[in-house]
Amino acid sequence: MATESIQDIKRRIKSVASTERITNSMKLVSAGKLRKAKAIFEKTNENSHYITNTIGELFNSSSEVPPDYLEGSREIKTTAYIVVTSARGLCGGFNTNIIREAQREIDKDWEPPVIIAIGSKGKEYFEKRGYNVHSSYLAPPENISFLEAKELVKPILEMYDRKEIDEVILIYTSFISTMEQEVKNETLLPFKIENDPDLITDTKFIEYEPSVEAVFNYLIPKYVEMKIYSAVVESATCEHAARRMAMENATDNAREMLDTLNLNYNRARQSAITDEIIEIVAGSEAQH
Amino acid sequence: MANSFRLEVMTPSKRFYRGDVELVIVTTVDGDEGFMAGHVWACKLLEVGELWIKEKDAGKDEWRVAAVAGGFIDVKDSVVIYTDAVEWSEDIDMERVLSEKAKAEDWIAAHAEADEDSAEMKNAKLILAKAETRSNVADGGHRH
Repeated sequence: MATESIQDIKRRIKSVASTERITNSMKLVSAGKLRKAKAIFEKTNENSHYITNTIGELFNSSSEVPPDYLEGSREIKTTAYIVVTSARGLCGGFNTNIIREAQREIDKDWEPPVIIAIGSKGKEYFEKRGYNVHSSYLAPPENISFLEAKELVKPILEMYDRKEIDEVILIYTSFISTMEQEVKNETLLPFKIENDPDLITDTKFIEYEPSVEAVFNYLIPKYVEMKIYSAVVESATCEHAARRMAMENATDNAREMLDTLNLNYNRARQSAITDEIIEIVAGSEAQH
Repeated sequence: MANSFRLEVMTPSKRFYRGDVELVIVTTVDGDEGFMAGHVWACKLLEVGELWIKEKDAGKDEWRVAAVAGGFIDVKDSVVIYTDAVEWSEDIDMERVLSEKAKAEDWIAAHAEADEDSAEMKNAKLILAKAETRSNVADGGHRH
């Protein structure tokens, strides 16, 4: 590096410094967005827990659940995958991790999968590889409303009812902490009843209105909607956390590079000065 | 004083209400129904309708009224109402309600010969019902 001219080093310092400024401000923006997304996520998370718990309890306490939605009611051939990625890049391994997990699941199946992509990164990946992307939601996921989630779910349930798909798997990133996120895959349908003996012995008579079947037929889509909505919100939180981390690393790297470049620059400058002094001294000595 | 119980009203994105109440009245698919402490466990679907809450220690005619966009009520030792959307009567934006109502009415009038059971028709009627409920609730509800 010492052979590089002062001019070259100067140019590189300039470019790295401007990159550093960009990554640093992106880090700050992500940190702000993360805080906002986290607040929404925490509320949604709490509520979705309530709803899923209630539904679980209902499934447990009733023997009259319509069997269509239960595990083992039909042979699983075609699987629908709901893959939650982000709409923007520059967030480290966030999308790669999700897509890798989705690809692994898809490779296990014999039948071609039905893919529902939330976030454009997943859509791009699967379309490029010739998969059938059934539907997609491309706007930035952090702004999704419950209504939009509902619209997304509708065709999925219709396909399930028509027996075009036999299984619905949701693949998303689950938020553990701002430093740690984990890819999760969850089977939404058919519903798996966990026979929890505590819940069963605890059952009292429950009145259903208009009928058990109607209540379940209402709850199933609700459950899927809620799950997907909260997964998207959670994934958006993870995206910001991942981007913040990625940008922090990039900023750190840029600063490290700047340090070395500055050192090299000073060295080069110093040696240029030394050369000049030697020349002057040599010149004056020659005159004597 | 009547016994009270814990009521929670939840929507997908937030907890709308939590508190001890004496009586809650909701619109189930079979009509208005009130729940008090000690009700048999139940799980019922709700129509688009009004939600009336009598809080613990409230006066005789002190009610809190909200418009609910359907959902379900889970009655156990405490009561939880899940709904997609709910609004207190005082928070309802009348302008928006009226414009939505007019839009739905226009649509229904323009498609009068359309299939009664088509998804669009059902949707338009649902929007109309929601708008009507909200304007009723904003006026204090049908019980006033």
